[in-house]
Amino acid sequence: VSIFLAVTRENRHSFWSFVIKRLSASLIALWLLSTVVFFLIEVLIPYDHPAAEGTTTGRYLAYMGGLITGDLGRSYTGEPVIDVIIRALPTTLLIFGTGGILAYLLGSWLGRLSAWSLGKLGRGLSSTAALALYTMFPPLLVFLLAHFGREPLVAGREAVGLPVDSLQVFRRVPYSETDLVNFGGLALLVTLVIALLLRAMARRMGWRMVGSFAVPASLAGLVLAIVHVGIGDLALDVFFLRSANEVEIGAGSPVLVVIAFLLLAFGEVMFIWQAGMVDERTEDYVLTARAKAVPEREVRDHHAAPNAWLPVLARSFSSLPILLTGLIIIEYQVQIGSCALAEGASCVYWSGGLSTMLFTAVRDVDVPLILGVLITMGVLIAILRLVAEIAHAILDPRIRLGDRR
Amino acid sequence: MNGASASVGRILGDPKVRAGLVLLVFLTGLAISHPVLRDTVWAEEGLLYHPETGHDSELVHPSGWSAQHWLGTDPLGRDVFSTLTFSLRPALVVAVLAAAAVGVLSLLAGSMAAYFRGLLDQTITSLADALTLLPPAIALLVVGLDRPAFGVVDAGLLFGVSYGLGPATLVVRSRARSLMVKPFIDCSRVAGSGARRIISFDLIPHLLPYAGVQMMAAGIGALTTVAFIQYLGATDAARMSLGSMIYTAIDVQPVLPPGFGTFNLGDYSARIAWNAIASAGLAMTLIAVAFYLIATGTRDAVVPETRSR
Repeated sequence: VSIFLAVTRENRHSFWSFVIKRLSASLIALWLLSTVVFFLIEVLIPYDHPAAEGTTTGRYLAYMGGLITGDLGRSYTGEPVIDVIIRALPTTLLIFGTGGILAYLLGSWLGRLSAWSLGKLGRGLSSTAALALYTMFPPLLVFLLAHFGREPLVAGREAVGLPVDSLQVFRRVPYSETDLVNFGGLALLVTLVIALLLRAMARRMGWRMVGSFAVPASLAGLVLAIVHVGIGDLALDVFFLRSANEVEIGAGSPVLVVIAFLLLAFGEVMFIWQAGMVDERTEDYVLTARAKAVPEREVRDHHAAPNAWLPVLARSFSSLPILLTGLIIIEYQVQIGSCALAEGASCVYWSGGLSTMLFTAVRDVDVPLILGVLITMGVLIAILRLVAEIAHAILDPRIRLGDRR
Repeated sequence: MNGASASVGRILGDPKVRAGLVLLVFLTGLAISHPVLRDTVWAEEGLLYHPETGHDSELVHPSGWSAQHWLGTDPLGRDVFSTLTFSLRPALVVAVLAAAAVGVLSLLAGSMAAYFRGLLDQTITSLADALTLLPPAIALLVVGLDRPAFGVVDAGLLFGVSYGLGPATLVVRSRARSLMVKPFIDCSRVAGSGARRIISFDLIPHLLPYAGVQMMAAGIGALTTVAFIQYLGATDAARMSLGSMIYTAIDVQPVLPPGFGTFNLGDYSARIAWNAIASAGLAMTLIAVAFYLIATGTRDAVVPETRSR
């Protein structure tokens, strides 16, 4: 925040003109996207247009007009598309947010560690492991997690006397699965944000111990809290127990989505950090810091890492589409067959997130809903990009001033 | 000294690139072995080794490896080696096509945008910005789900074009713009090089490693997405692919011989077709590893300072 204020104060004009320029570029991109998507679907997905809606051009103009006022038309079920999307959005945001933050923390830590401290062999091994996870077929990853996670979990529950029959578990659950996702995800997200702020503050004040334990301790605290309340336990049940009693493999819970996404995404973050840090290792300032007997960890985390951060940020966004692919597949994969046991139990269908909605829409050829989901995803990515670009511009003045050259 | 051929020579000499190419050749060899074996060794057995409809009625399926079935059989009794080699061809076609499309499009669009600037640059960048907002996997899923007529070639090209003109062009263009202010471009211009010469001999060789990383991402992404479409479409178990191999291995209940008793979880989990899961999973990982080795090796060869020290 202080950097932000300093930058905006000292260079107000160029900063705001940069922001306005990027914002208008994003809006143009969004308009182009909706046009491309509209005509792509028009050409590629044959469906019966209601006769009343007139020509393609007429429909396009009407759709664009609606878009400006936030009206995405009506789904074939009769419900306004915007309402359907708003219902699914929190789940997607929470899963992507928490999974993304956890993957970033784990990946950046491993990336820094492996680039700095491991030899060539260790780096090769950790890269191979990360590559194997990153390229693993998502349904296979979900299957392996379920297959090997199930038995220890059931055994653990039996040992402490918790019910292992999923019907029993669901009868005592007063919440729907969607509530679980939203409450659990929100709690995790808030905890992570608080932990990161705490860590930043502790570093500033020089309390090193507090700084390094802020994130793990907060996460552990959250886990204890939700286990105490009984929600975390339930969230785990939702997946593992159901598949223990049912042959249905692939039924799942939000917890599994987050874990699978974490495993899939951290490798990419690790690669990016590794590359960034390896470049910094031979810089003169690192040698200077070492010559002054600065502890190695401090050189790594406080001298080299901040310098590696810019290229990392730039590269992270070009890998965003690929990470999203993984998330979309995993979310849907886990959703398939979810709640196979719903009859009689108080388990309510987990309505899933945007990706589940997209798959359903594609299978039902619900064109207004397909368009709506695609445009919503476009808006989300545009917002992420804009935030990253502004952060980049604040940190690197060359970008703000670049075009004046 | 020709800059382009010198850098191609350096790239081909890099050990990582060589390892990646060897791996790719090996996988292609496996794919080619299918029609060869089909017409020679397996021809006498009739439909026993057919990748889609074969069934060995003398064994309990899924079975482990044996002399007759090198990689065992899947829950439906099909020979895993046969289905694997059969499925590798479409998988390689998708990955290579997507990567090639990304390479060609991003190098051309990115370098031309950086060289000519002005209106052309604005047009290319706006389109790329817009396409970046549409993850190519989603485009592919929307168009390809539940549509058998949409083949692997269409899928590879659609993925390659939407990724190549989108995110990949943005990356290559920004790199090309920083190259354009380097003195060697001015030297080339003073020496009388035209636009075509500068783009193809001065810009593109330096942009190759950046395009290479994007090509890898596209190849892996296309492979995964298409496999997922196949996995979802796999209720029609006759259409064979890496995705449906995994579907069959995970989700299809084994065909039990008469008198095997009622179905229960214990018997089921003892009989998960790990051979089929591992074969298909490993094949996908190996394709990805080959792409990774070629991309990072190219980067090491052209940008020596990224080589891990």
